[in-house]
Amino acid sequence: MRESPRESESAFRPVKRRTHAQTLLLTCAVITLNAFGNLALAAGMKHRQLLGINPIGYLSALFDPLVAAGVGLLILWLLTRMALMSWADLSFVVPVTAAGYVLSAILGRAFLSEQVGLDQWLGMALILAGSVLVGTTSHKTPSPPYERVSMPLAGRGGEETT
Amino acid sequence: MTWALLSVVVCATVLADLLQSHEMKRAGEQDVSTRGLGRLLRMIAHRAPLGLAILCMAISFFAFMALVQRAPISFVVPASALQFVVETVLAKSLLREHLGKRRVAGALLVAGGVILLAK
Repeated sequence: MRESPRESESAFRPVKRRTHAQTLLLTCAVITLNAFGNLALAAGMKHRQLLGINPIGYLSALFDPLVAAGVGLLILWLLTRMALMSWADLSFVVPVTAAGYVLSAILGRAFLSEQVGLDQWLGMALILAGSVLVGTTSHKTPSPPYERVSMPLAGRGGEETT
Repeated sequence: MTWALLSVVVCATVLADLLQSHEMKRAGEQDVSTRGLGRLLRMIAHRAPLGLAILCMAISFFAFMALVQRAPISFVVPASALQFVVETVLAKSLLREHLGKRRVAGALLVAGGVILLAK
């Protein structure tokens, strides 16, 4: 595999190391949840008046079904993305999940009739190419400095302090 | 106003991601089952940096909500991708991640895409 497992460090982990394929699969889930969450949020907010700095306006928007659905999907996105960050480097997660922005723009055009010009299509193509390129790299730095630190909430017997 | 909101979205998101990545690496690889996601929720409640990360995400979220009312989502969402370049640089300097040539090239491609999108 692409990763460089260090057997001596496995005892410090609550769950076994994920393969690159598993990481990419979770990345796809993160991308999809984000894109559809943003779509539902945008669709719900389009019908509302412009919001100022008053938080009441934002809280009342949460009672809109589409906004609520968007928030629900984005909460799920947040949790799965947190899990993904425990599997992979930030410099891997961030560019690879950029594909979600391309999907969001396509969904915005398809469902919200938003205009996407030639420059934007080219930009999205570049973002997608960058995402794919980073996706071919190893998802985790072989010897991160986080392996042997205290993990009070990690659970599953993974807690250990050096 | 649009660009000010976009700046808030990007800065808050970068800080949130750095805090999240740092804490999740400390926690070790997490499960994505229902039980695992529940444990992640508990971690947010018990770990201060994760709580701060969520606060930053909330700030970013509300700024984003205001932003999508002023500009099309096909501009707003890709434009906020400016965070890719900043986070890639900070991941190397602060989180000590290894950046190979392909990761750097990928980040540059994303940056090029953002410039085209902002036209």
